[in-house]
Amino acid sequence: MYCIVLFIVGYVMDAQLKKGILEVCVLHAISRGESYGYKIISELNGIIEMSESTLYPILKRLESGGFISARSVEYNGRLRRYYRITPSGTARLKSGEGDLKEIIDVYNRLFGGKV
Amino acid sequence: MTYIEWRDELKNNLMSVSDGERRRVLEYYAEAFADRREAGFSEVQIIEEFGAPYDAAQRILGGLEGDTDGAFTPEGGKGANADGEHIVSAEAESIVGENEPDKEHIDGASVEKPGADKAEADKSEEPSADKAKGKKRKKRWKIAIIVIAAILSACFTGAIVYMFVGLAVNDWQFVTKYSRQEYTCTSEITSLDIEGTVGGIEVKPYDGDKVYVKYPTSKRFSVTVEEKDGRLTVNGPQTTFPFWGMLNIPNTVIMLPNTAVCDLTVSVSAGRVSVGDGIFNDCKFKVSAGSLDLGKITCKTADITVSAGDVDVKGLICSKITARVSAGDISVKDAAADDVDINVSAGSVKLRLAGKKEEYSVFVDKSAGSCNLKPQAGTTAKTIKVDISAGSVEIKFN
Repeated sequence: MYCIVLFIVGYVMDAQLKKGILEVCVLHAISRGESYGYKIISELNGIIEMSESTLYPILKRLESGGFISARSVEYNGRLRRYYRITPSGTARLKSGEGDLKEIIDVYNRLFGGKV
Repeated sequence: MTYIEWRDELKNNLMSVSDGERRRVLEYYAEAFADRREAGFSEVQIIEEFGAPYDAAQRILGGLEGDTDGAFTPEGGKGANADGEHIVSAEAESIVGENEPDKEHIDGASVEKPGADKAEADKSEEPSADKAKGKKRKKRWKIAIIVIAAILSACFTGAIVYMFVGLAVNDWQFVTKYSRQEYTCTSEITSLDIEGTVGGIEVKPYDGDKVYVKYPTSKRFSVTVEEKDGRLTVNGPQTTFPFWGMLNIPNTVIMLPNTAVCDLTVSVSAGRVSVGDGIFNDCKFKVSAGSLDLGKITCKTADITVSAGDVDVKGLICSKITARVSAGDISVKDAAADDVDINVSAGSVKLRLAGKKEEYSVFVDKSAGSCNLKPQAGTTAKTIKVDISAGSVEIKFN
C-alpha cells in the first residue's frame, strides 16, 4: 500500500512536495543500512522513479542538513561513497512518514476509497 | 555516444557551478557508471538510463537550487564528512554492498592513498572557495558603501532642500530679516513670567510708569507676549524653521517701572536671560540650560533651581533664599537673607552673605561633596541649611 501511494503521489504532487517525498524515500532506503547511489536507486526502483541526476542533489541536501553522513571507501580500485542515516535523519524519516500518512488520509477523504 | 563524450557534455552543461561541485558530480557519475558496468549493463544502456547530458545537468542544477550552503562548498562534497575531514576506509570491513559479494573485506591500508589523493584534490579547490568568499565579502562591502553613499546623499540633498526652503521663507536672504515690535501693557502687572529659549531676554527696571515689551519678529521665529489678568508672559523666540536664522537674534527687552512690584518667574531652557536691579515680590528662577544673570534684586523670597547652566546674581536681598542645584553653578555675590536653604546634588553654590558668621545657625547634611561651613548654633534667628550629596557649597560673610 505504501508503495502504491508513493507511486501515485510521485506523479501527481507538485515539485516541492515531490522533493520532500523523494527525500523520505531516500532516507528510508538508507535507514536499512549503509548504502550507496546505485544501490539506493535499485532499491527504490518500482517504488518511485528516480534518476542519478535526481538522487545527487537529494543526497547532497540530506548530507548538508545533517540527516545523513557520508564517507568514501575504496572498492575494486576505485572510491565508492557510502551514506548512513544519522539520528536527526531518523527523526526526519519518522516525521516524513507522518506526513505521508496525512496525505493518505486526505486522499481517502477526497476519493472515499482506501489506499 | 561513449561515456566519456557523455560526461564531457555533462561537464559543459555544469559550468555555472563551482569547480569543486562540478568535480563531485562527475565523480558521482563515474561511480554510478562503474557500479552499473559491474552489474552487467553495457555502456549504451547506462548512457540511455542517464538520459541526455543537458537534461541531467538541468535536473542537478534544479535540485541544487536554494542549497543554503552554496551547494558548492568543498566540505559537503565527496570524501569529506560534515566537519570537512576525509573519512576513508577505517570502517571499510563493515561495508558490504549487494553487488560486491567477493569484496567484503577491504584492506584499510590500501585505501589510504586514494584518500590522500582526494585530500590533495580538495586542497586544490580551496583557492576557488576562498575566491568565492572573497567575492561575497567584496559584494557585501560594495552594498554597504552604496547604502552609506545613499544615506549621505539623502542627507546632503535634504540639507540643500532645507537650506533653499529656509531661504525662500526668508525672502532669499541669508541674514535673518526681522522687524521690531512693541507691546505696551494695558493693566497693572502683578506677575511677570519669562521663558528664555534662544537669543536673549532682558528685564530692565526704569523710572517710567508703563510696562512694555520690545521684541523682534521674523518669519523664522516668533516671540510670544501675552497679558492676562495682570500676568505678563513673555516667551522667547520659538523657531518656525529650526536651525535657520537662530543666530544673532536681537534681545527681547521688557521695560518694567521701578514702582511695579510684581512676582517674577524666569525659566531658562536656552539662551540668556538678564534681570536688572529691581524690587519684586516672590521670585522663582529655573535654569535647565543657558544662563541667568540677575542684578541687585530685592524681593520677599528667592527660589533658584538649576539643573544645568549658570546663575549669576550680583545682589539678593530677601527673607529667604532657596537654591537647588542638580548640575551647573549658582553664584551670589552679595546676599542678605534670614533663611538660606541650599540643596546641592552636583555643581556648586557660592554665596556671600551679609552679617557675621556667628549670627547664623548652621545645619549641614553632607553625604559627599564639600561645604566650608560646619554646624553651629547662631546668636540670632537666622539659619543656613545645607544639604549636599555631591558638588560644593561655599558661603562667605561680609
